[in-house]
Amino acid sequence: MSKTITIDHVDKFYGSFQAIKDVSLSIKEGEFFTLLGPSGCGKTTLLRMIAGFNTIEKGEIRFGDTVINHVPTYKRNIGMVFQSYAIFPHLTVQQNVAYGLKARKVPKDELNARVEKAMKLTQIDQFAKRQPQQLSGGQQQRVALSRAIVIEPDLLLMDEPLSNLDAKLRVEMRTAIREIQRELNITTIYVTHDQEEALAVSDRIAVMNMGVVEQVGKPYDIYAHPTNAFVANFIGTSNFLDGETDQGGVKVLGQNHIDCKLNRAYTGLVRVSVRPEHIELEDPVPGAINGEIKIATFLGDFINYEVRLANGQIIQANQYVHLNPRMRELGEKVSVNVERSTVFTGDGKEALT
Amino acid sequence: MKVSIGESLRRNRQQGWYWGVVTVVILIFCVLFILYPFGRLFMQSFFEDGHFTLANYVKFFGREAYRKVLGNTLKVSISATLLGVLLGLPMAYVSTRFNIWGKKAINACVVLSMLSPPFIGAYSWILLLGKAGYITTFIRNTFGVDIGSIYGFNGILLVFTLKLFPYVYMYTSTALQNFDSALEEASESLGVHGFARIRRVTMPIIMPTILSAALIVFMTSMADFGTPVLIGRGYKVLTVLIYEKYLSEVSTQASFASAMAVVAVVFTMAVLFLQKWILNRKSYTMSAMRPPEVVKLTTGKRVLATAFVWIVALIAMLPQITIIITSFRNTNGSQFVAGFGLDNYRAIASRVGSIVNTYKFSIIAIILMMILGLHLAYIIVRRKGKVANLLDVLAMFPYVIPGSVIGIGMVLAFNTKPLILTGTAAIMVIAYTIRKLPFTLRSSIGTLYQIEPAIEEASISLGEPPMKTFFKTTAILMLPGMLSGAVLSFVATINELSSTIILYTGGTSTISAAIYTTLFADAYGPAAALSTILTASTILALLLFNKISGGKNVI
Ligand SMILES: Nc1ncnc2c1ncn2[C@@H]1O[C@H](COP(=O)(O)OP(=O)(O)OP(=O)(O)O)[C@@H](O)[C@H]1O
Ligand SMILES: [Mg+2]
Repeated sequence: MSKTITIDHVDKFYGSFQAIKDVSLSIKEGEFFTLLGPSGCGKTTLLRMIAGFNTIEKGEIRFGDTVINHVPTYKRNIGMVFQSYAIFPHLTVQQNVAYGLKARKVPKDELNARVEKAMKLTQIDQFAKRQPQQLSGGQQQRVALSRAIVIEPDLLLMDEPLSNLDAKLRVEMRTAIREIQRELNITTIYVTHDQEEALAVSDRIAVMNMGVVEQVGKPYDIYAHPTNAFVANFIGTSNFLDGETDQGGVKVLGQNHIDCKLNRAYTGLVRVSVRPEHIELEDPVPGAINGEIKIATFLGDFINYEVRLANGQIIQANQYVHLNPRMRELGEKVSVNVERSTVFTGDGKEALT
Repeated sequence: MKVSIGESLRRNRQQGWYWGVVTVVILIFCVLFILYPFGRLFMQSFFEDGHFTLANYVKFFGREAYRKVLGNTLKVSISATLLGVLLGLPMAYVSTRFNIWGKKAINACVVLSMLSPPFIGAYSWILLLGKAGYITTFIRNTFGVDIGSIYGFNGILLVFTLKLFPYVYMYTSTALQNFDSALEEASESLGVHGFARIRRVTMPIIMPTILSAALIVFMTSMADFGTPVLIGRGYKVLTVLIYEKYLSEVSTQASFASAMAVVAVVFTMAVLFLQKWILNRKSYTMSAMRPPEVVKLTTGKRVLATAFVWIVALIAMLPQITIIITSFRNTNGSQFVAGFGLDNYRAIASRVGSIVNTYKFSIIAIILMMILGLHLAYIIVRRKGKVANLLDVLAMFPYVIPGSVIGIGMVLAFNTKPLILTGTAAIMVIAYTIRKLPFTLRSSIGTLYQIEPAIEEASISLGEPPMKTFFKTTAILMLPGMLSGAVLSFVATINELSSTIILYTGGTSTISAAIYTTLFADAYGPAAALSTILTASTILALLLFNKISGGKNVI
């Protein structure tokens, strides 16, 4: 049965190196929860603490009301899908899927029925008698998934399960995983460093950085309302303009005013982040943020421009083709019109809008 | 990685008790049967009547006669190593790179000639080239010339070279087959070709492999007891001297034997470290993208190359063949008489106990070795740390100790209370197990590195506790790879002489011990029959292992 998972102020040390720093998360029953962050930020470490392969130095992890810090992995009733699949090479597909049920001494009839059902659900029933070596990467991944869900785990853990697949299969598999997860309503913690994947499948995402959780939220909220500059930068693309507060908003690049309303009293340096799609390029207007086109890349529904500003900074701007069909020339002078932005404190640690 | 004691305790609690218990049991086993016996030996060499003394060492290094024995040992071992490389290297090169006839058969011959113990080779060369040897007599009768004596330095060297060059051959063949031909082509394109290319590209890259093989040749030569004792006659080497001194009733001689054993171990260790040091500075891993093509020789050259390889292989096989034929010659007492029959086999009917013992001890020992190898490899590879490193060193230690030294250490350690084992079958099985374990252990470790840890984690996450997980996943996956080492361990065990000679009693005699005593009773015929049985056992074991491992050649 699915359970609520609570991670309560946990720390992890490797020697003197702290890989996880006071992380607290609460994952709801049946939720698809993703740990997202750059390489080395501690996603795997945290996942393995939940699985029981890593010790917990401080704090508590609870499945439902039970503290599981000292429960050995094999008693935690978790399903786990590994990056390398970790299919048992000496067992057939069917035996792989049956493995966890055998460990639980499930009676034969029930075992067969459940294995059959799980293999159908993951669409590997036609390979039941095959050796794993005779399967493609995607099929092996399905076996791994099948094997993990058949035991009806309290929690499903996946560590970059799709990173060994090619781009097209990745999209197909993530949809399959999501559907199966919904159908079975299993609480799931999913690790990836691919933001697109995270945005596509998750109910909620925790963005991690250097052992710390930077922000937790629904995909749209994280994208639209990053609470700090790291998240703004890591999720999607952002241009950052340095500036300072002034009357009724902020002033960037020393001269250009942008209207905005800060959420608290603040004066001083700021960083303003602007998504490429929130920039409109116009013909030059004196006094505006001016620059010149360095690179123009046609990408189908939009054109991506790299614009060099007067101070030498390069920013990205995306112009939808159906709104701005003309492709601007290289070297063409333009004005940059910021339609929407997020203002952060000068150190990037806090959002002011 | 630094793991605090707290961390490892917590880890143990979470991963279950199994590996903790296994580690402790193996540690006790290694300390008790490896460290303790050698420790006793070491101490004995420094103590006389309870007083510390360097007298044994002073005596050894002080006397011309003893220094000469050490010199002899080094001289014959180094010569055998050089000759072994000089013979094995061209054999390997020619048979891997050129289109000679009968490659498979050559391989089989070389492997077979390697697998019987050196002392049988020695015995066989005496049959061929000894005072009344087949070839000696033939030449004397036909040409009226005396070809001189096979005994002494020349004899030992001949036997060692022919017996041990196959190691160089096998190691370098593999390396040459895995050689990336792009490197050689790059060299050719830069204008370095022919012998210059071999010298400047091929050789340096396979050098580490050659060194590894040379080390085995050297250590085996240093440690061998049967060959010098049979064919050495006046030419004495360390192992023989140790044995003589050990057997003498005077207790001071026994501690002198211990001192010499320590010297022998120090020398082999020194060579081992030298080799490791060279290897660490220069070693390349290579997996052939495209293995080198086999060069098509013109017919004339092809015949010459084939002849060379075949002649060497056949000479290496000659002792085996001689023994087998001799075993069927009729005998009268210790004299050979005309005609062939089963006389010799009838004569050894009383030795059936030794044959049974050989199988009994070897099978128990190999089972122990496989259990140990499986668990030790796991501890060393997966549960890294100080204890794992210690176990690795301890388990490999007997590899550098001559068998007779192990035997003496075991006797010293276990002929008094609380644990009296001398004269039992157990002490023989234990000696075999620790001495031949390194082959099994090395192959187990090699295989384990190919198995990803996530397999076990998957099993544990699915609800199998660590011990069950190990036996249901990793252990099963390790078996096939482990067998290639286990078969070497097994073959080496049934052929083991040097520790047997020290440890056996009437009831625990083995085939090799029986051959040894039979030979010294001048019963050449029955000895040949026993040797043939040993050879047949070896071949049988190989075939069996081949079958178990599913037809994949384990050697
Ligand atoms: N066993 C270990 N001993 C010491 N340091 C470790 C160990 N495992 C991980 N680390 C360190 O902890 C940090 C987090 O590692 P982790 O594997 O959790 O990263 P990750 O977020 O999963 O990265 P990736 O996306 O590359 O898989 C890294 O700096 C890593 O070097
Ligand atoms: Mg990771």
